[in-house]
Amino acid sequence: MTDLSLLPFIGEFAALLLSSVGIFLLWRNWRQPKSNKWQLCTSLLILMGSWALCIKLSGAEFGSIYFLCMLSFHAWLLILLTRKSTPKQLLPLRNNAPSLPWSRKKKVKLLYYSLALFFLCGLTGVLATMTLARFFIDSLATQLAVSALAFPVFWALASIWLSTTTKLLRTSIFMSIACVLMAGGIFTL
Amino acid sequence: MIMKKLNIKKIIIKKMFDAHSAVGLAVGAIMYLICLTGSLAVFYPEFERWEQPDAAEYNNLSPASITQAYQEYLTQVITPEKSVYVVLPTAEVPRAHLSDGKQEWWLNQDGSLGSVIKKPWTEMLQELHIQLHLPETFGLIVVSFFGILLAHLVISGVLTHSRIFKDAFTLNWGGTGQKQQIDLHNRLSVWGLPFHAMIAITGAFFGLVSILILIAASAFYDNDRDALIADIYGAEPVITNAPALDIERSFANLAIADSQATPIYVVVQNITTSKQFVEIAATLPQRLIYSEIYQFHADGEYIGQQGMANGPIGRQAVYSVYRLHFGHFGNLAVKIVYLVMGLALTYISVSGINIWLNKRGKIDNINYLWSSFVYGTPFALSASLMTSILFDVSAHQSFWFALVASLLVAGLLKNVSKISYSLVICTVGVLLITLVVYGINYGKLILIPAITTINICLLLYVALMILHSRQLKNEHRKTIN
Repeated sequence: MTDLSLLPFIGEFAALLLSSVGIFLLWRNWRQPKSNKWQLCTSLLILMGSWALCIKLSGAEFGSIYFLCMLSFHAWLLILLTRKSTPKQLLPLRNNAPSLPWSRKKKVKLLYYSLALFFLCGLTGVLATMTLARFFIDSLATQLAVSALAFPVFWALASIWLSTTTKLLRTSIFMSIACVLMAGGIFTL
Repeated sequence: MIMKKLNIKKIIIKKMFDAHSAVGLAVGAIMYLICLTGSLAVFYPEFERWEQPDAAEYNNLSPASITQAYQEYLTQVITPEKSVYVVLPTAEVPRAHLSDGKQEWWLNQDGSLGSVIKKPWTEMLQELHIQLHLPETFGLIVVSFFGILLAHLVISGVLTHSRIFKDAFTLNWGGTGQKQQIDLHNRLSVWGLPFHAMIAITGAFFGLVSILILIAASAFYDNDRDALIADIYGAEPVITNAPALDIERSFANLAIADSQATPIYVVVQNITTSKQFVEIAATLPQRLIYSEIYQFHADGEYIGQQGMANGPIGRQAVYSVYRLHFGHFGNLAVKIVYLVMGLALTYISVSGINIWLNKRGKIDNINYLWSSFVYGTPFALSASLMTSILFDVSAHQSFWFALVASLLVAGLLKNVSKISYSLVICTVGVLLITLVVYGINYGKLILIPAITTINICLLLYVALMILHSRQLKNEHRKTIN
């Protein structure tokens, strides 16, 4: 009778090996002055193979998590092993002007941005997520569950937009109007 | 035209980078505290075990013992709480306990109530991570807001990293240390991106979901929040004239209803009332959901399952958040991976501020305070562990007292490597005293494999800190010369 008890271990080992080979090929391709498309595709295919094997062994949920963790660890290990060392030196003291990134702007702008980050971006993020969920998902319970998980991303995106715009006032007004419209849509439809 | 487009792109990236730096600097210290405590909190079941090594340990608690535990509970309390839980032993934590939300007891294998659960340090650590020792709901919302800010930092960090592919594997080591910090900050961030994004999103979810519930309840449920929660998580059965409790039959019926389910806890809802019923939560193979909940009448007749595993996809996703955030699935290796990933995020928080401090090119009180905060936090955690074991003092108070004392040291020493060195040595000393006192207090119990493993880990940390202290001492000598 064939002993199958080692099969999961062999599978896990194969997934680990495939992932490390995939990352190694990716690194080799990255080191070359000109990227080789075939090598890049092969490495990505091997990584996909590793992912598929992980899913086969542990299911879609755990498999994907294990694969992503393996990927991070292999990449970090390779980075650490191929690091470029130079002798340690003391950091020269230059006495630069102490420039806090936010001190360049006026204090009023900082206060406004902090408040907007909490209230305007928060509201925009939550309402945008709920509006999108209402558009694309049928069941109300699923709409709410997806919104609950996705709203941090939209909140963060709104705050990034606000922090990079050159037209702060215009963007704020636009966000406020969008909030009113989205809220109207959500409450009435 | 192309030049103008490139210029605008440059300006936007520059502004985004400024926003990334500003937010990072504003929240770096608290983020460090949350990430460090979160990394350690992955092992909270092990710490609980370490804090009370004398509780009875076993792998199985029979349904008859569970019935006995409920009977003992009812004789022990005057007015029972609404929901009374019996958390079953697992391979990870081979001990059971009974909790009514206000009081908790370890259980002996025969179902009799053992000692009251006492885990002051673990509780302090969890509360520091979850609510920063602020009032419960407010603290949870504040910490969740840091999840949003982490999402902001993750997204803006990726968008501003113009050499994300070019430098994908670059690490300059040594030199002045500035390039090393920048490279480590970027490489750890980029390759750990899925984990960091997941932590940010799930972290934000825990506290800020209440805002969403508030809006959604008023929009769709006539302000009835309970109806909304029931719609997402599944509703409780409506019971009248409940019969007497029969836990054993509930377990027998669970085995028939789902043979793959592994029970993790039992809860009797509305205990001793005419509405009482039993719920058994169980994990399912290859599923990330916290558990499926199987509902039974008090006499053990099967009602149905709540649909965590086979209900709407949204319910399944929301119920998977806990295990995903805390790394409580799979085996010990997963916890170790979460610890390393969490510590990477901790390093990213620290290095972000270090990079800015180095860019300033001068050393002043900010540098002193920052290094005392970074090295003072592990010291404060160790000190609170020691005091909770040695003197039975509040772990919360001793943590903050030790942290403030570390910050005061900064003012006295006014030398970065000297501050770091002193605090590392203090941490080493405090941990060694803790281990010695622990050994004296618990004698042979320290030979339990799980307890020995934690003690060895602490000793390894001490050894690492001794090595690090030598490095810091050399740095200090160099600065003097």
